Amino acid sequence: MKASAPATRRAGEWAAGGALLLVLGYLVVLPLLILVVAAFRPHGFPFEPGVTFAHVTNAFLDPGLPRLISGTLTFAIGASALAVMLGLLLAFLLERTDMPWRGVWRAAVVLPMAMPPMLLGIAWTLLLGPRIGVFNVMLSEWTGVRGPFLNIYSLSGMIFVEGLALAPSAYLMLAAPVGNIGSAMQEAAAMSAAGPLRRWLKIDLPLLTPAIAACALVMFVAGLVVFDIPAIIGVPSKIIVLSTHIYGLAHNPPESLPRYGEIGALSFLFIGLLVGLVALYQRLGARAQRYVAITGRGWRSSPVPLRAWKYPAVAFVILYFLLTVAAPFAALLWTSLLPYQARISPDLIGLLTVSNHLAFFGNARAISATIHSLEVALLAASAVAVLAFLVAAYVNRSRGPGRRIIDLLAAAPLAIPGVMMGMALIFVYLTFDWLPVYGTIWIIVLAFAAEYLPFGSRAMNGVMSQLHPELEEAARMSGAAPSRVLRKILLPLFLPAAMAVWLWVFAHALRALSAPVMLQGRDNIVLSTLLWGYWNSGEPTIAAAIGIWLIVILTLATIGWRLASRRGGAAHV
Amino acid sequence: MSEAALLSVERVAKRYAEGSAAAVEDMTIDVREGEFFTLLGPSGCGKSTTLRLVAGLESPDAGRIRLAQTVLFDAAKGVNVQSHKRDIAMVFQSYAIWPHMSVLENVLFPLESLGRYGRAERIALARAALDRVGLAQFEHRSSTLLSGGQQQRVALARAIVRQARLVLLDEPLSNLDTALRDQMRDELFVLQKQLGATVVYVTHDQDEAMQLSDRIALMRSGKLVDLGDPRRLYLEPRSAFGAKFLGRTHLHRAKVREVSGTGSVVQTTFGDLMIDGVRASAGIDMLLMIRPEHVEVEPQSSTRPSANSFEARIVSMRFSGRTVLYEAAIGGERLEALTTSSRMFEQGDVVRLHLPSSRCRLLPLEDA
Ligand SMILES: Nc1ncnc2c1ncn2[C@@H]1O[C@H](COP(=O)(O)OP(=O)(O)O)[C@@H](O)[C@H]1O
Ligand SMILES: [Mg+2]
Repeated sequence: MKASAPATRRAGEWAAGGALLLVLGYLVVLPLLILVVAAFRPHGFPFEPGVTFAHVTNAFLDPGLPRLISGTLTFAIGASALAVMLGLLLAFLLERTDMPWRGVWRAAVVLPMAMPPMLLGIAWTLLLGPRIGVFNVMLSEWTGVRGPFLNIYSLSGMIFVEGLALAPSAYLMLAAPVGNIGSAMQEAAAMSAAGPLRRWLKIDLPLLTPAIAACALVMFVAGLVVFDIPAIIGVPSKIIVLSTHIYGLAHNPPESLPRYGEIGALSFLFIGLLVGLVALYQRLGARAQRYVAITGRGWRSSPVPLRAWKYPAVAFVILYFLLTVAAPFAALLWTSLLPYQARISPDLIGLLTVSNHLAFFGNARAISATIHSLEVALLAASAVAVLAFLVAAYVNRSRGPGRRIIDLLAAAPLAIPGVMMGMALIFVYLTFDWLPVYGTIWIIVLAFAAEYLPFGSRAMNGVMSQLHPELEEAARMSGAAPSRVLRKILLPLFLPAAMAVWLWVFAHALRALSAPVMLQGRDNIVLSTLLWGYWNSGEPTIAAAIGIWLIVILTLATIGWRLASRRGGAAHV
Repeated sequence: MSEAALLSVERVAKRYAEGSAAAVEDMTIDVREGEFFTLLGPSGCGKSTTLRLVAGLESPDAGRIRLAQTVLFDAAKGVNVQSHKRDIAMVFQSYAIWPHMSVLENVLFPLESLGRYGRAERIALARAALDRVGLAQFEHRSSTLLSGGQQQRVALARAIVRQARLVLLDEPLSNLDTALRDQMRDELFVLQKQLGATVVYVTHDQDEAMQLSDRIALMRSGKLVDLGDPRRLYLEPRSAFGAKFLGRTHLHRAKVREVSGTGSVVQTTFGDLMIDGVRASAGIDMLLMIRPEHVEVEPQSSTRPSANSFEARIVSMRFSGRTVLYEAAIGGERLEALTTSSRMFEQGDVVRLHLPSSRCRLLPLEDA
């Protein structure tokens, strides 16, 4: 009956903390460290001899750098602002008003998650391209203006599409805080003779400020590091942002040797950004949680009556779905059914054929890419779900050492562009070639595990902070040993959230382009890189057909994710 | 340490973080077999911490904790039995009902964890426990569909089913509404007596503590300030803090004039008073304590010539059915009196207030 608990528990906690630090160090710190070292090597290879500052001076004294940075910032700020506005308006309409068919909209609101940003970008070039863009053609006909009416190949075009791509995530982050403002506060405000608008402005918005700020920050960082839409829309129109610049340094350098050293030097920018942002986000996050704790689990307030405003409200929501799902999907479907790229027009119905789709199923490369995609997504999702659970459990529930640093490391990849992480992993595994993952799907899995860990650990942290510690203590006081508490109490309570994280990562790993495109070799082509290849080599109809099938898989995963997070109450991304 | 003590906590201390104030300091209590023992004190005084130290959910920095023959914790010897190996059950403030289990599964969990009995016997015991708390017909209910009172009962059933040597309860009634709280308090009282369970109970509600407890430990800022049965704590507090915490009371400055074998005379701003059984020396300043319900209000006509009797005028009265609270003025001093409504006076009436010498107490001045 005697057991020296403090000692054994200490030792266990130290071991757990050490193991987590090791794993996170390997996944996150080592790649970044190698990038930094590469910045000072003559040819940008981390373990070659010699030291040079040429790459750093080249990268930072580059006369194009200020424009590159200001373009990236404009893009990120514009896209995040659009996404937050759309997300907030949607959250307000769907969570707080008596808008007609709310149930339908709420169920449908995650559908855009099934549209990979890469495909959204492709679809919008089909809809708003200067020559064949169907909206441009229509708008020109109506207004009589000649030439392209709107041009998607512009910074505002990129901002518009990225804003649409980020809006569903913004909605998911804001829906819970907007919906949960306790009825008590609402009623107290009403009894203070405040009208609905005044209540919204004076009570709701200030209470929501931390949540909105946190959401805006996450969206902004996503805009800074994103690759796919800048690559699809920006690169053809010579609008370069940091991520596409890095890709360019690795793939199309003027003098043909990849400029690894400069990529390493540019990583300083992101590491600097990271340090600042993570600190800021943690602050905002803590504040947001405090507000949530205050509002507690009150009853929902009675919905705000829209009256005549319900018509514009419904029109807005329909327009949202039109722009994010229906029109892009229709454009892709149309293109996938054509033998060659052409505009959308009833005159061409006679041309439609399913041959691209049949070719997809008959194409050995496509089949193997599909299998690779599923393997990568499955492995990355499982790795993130398990690691995020362990990180959240350790950070929130243990008293072991290094909890803060582990929490920070798990959040760090948020601000690292996928292309940069891809570059870093190339260095790591070209250097440590005793682990032969270079050029295999495993290297993509490692990149995704790092990239999506911030999402996973944040979601798990959210659930963990909602679970009262007394639930576990009650089990211990019922005579359950720690392993039994983990098995019988914590794990079952976490399963829905873990499922939700798993499916979210699964869906994102299927659709992401940035890391796979850096890491692709002959043997690890996935659906997104295959699609990208066809698109870039001028075969948009085949790319569209692949896209349609990717969307089908993603829709299933998204629906599954939604069901799982409903059950787990973990919908806050 | 008394022989009969089932639980003994000796000089236990706990500090949560370096440099912060101690949450619990030099805590020593003995709990006897079958006793209902309450830790009482204002919020943040360290009651929950003390309970959690006994439970093993926190580790003390110093001291010793023993349950029956088993040493649970001994800082000097490096002994610290883990929570799940202590023969102690606990009911939490949040109830902590596991939402993924049914009512019956919740109650079965301790028996399964301890690996006691066969399956059929476990179920019989769990049902008996649910029956005891009046939830017999709810065993298959999902625990997410329970009201606050029902969750409370499940938590109780889960604590009694394992028949631990000691049951700890941390403010179990604080999340219930008033009517339910009164009912549950009565049920808890009966249940503890029926089971003969040894209970350590935490509350900040002095009425709850006095109605339920055999003995109360009064805490303040992490320290034990008084320990005794409810009657002693209420009628003969040791400090102004204790007097005020257990109920409404007057505290007036008083100077001890003479001390005799049976009592003493003190001087106050409204006159001299006889007080029974004082252990103080003449000449020092102290606090006179008297509770409003001990002040007797009589018509002016009943000029019973007695000590401790003063003429006063009713300044205000508050009628609340069963009782009436008067505020009376003796010269420039105000005094409250709480009486039944059997006889009533009106505002402006002149009355006599009698302060029984047996109910007047003298308390040290320092922490007034
Ligand atoms: N886990 C903890 N970490 C740090 N301080 C704590 C913790 N739990 C309690 N405290 C502090 O210890 C003191 C005593 O708390 P507690 O035992 O919960 O009081 P009570 O139950 O009497 O209200 C308080 O000052 C409280 O803030
Ligand atoms: Mg407490």
